[in-house]
Amino acid sequence: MSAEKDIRGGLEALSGMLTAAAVVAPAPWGTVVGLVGTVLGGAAQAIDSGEDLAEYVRRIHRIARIDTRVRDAAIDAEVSDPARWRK
Amino acid sequence: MPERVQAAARRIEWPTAAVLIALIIATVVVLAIVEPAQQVTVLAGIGTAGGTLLALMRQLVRQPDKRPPASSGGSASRYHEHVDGDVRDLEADERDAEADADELHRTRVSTMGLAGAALFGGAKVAGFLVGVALALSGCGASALRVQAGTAHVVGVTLDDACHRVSEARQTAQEAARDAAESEVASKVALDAVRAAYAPAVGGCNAVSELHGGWADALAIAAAGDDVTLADSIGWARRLVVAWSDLVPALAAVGIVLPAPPAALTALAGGAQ
Repeated sequence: MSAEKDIRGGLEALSGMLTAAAVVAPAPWGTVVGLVGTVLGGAAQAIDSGEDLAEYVRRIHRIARIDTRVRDAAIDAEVSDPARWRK
Repeated sequence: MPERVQAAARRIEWPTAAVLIALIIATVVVLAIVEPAQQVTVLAGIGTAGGTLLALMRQLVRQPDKRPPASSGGSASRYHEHVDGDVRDLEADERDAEADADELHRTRVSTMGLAGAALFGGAKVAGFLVGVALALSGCGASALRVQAGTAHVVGVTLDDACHRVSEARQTAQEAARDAAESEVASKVALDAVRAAYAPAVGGCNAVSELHGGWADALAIAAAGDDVTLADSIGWARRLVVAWSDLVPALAAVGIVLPAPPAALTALAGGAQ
């Protein structure tokens, strides 16, 4: 498992560097660098560390749904507020 | 074709090219180090993540618009100018501005429609992967580990991309709200932003459901359990939800989805 550990460490370090670089990179490279960093971070986590199969499967990262309702309601309330348009 | 359009057509989109190069490298690495029996599964996972990422990339890496979304300029201020200025010129300017805003809106909707359609392609592949996961539920632990690893990387990648879509949508809404000079103009501008992002949001939600179904199938296979009726109902529900999420994504490119199969909705509704 030492080779896997080395690869995981390398990928995590690279992912960390890219994530940090994404903050200061000019648009649109910040997005690209950030996504590549995320992919490498995910790949590092996916490297088999020899744990139990059920535990390994349980760690699969789920994709969260985008729930727009709360944010949309807040912004709708803001623009519907008469005080906002009063000069 | 005007020279400007030709120049734009020849221009390489470097962010997209970077993702394509990364995908090619990933494919070569998979072919080199993954066992042949498991290569198809891993490549399908890379295809799902890559296709979706490329679709989202077009929207995520766009330079900020120079102009606010349609109608957000506030018609009231333009009419104030009529008092002192040349009314005819201003009316012509108004028509030009509205045409530009319409064009901009169509471009945004078209871009997001393409993203939604490509997400649909990714969703179909993810659906196929759920089928593969089910069909291979009796496969060995090694194959399940490869699938789980692929599902994890796909999940991390698309979750991050979808989070960025959500944040970009919110930023666009705030910009539209701040640029508008009246409540009506603000609402029109917000509607335009929401319509533009609806395909990508629907596509992300559909992929979320299908990926969740894949992960559930892997969990059942890893536990060595048999697929029960409750599991089937859960998958049917996910498919029905994903179907409804895809409706706005495909409507933007002129595709009207038929109602989901009655057997599917009946199975999904059976547990309600």
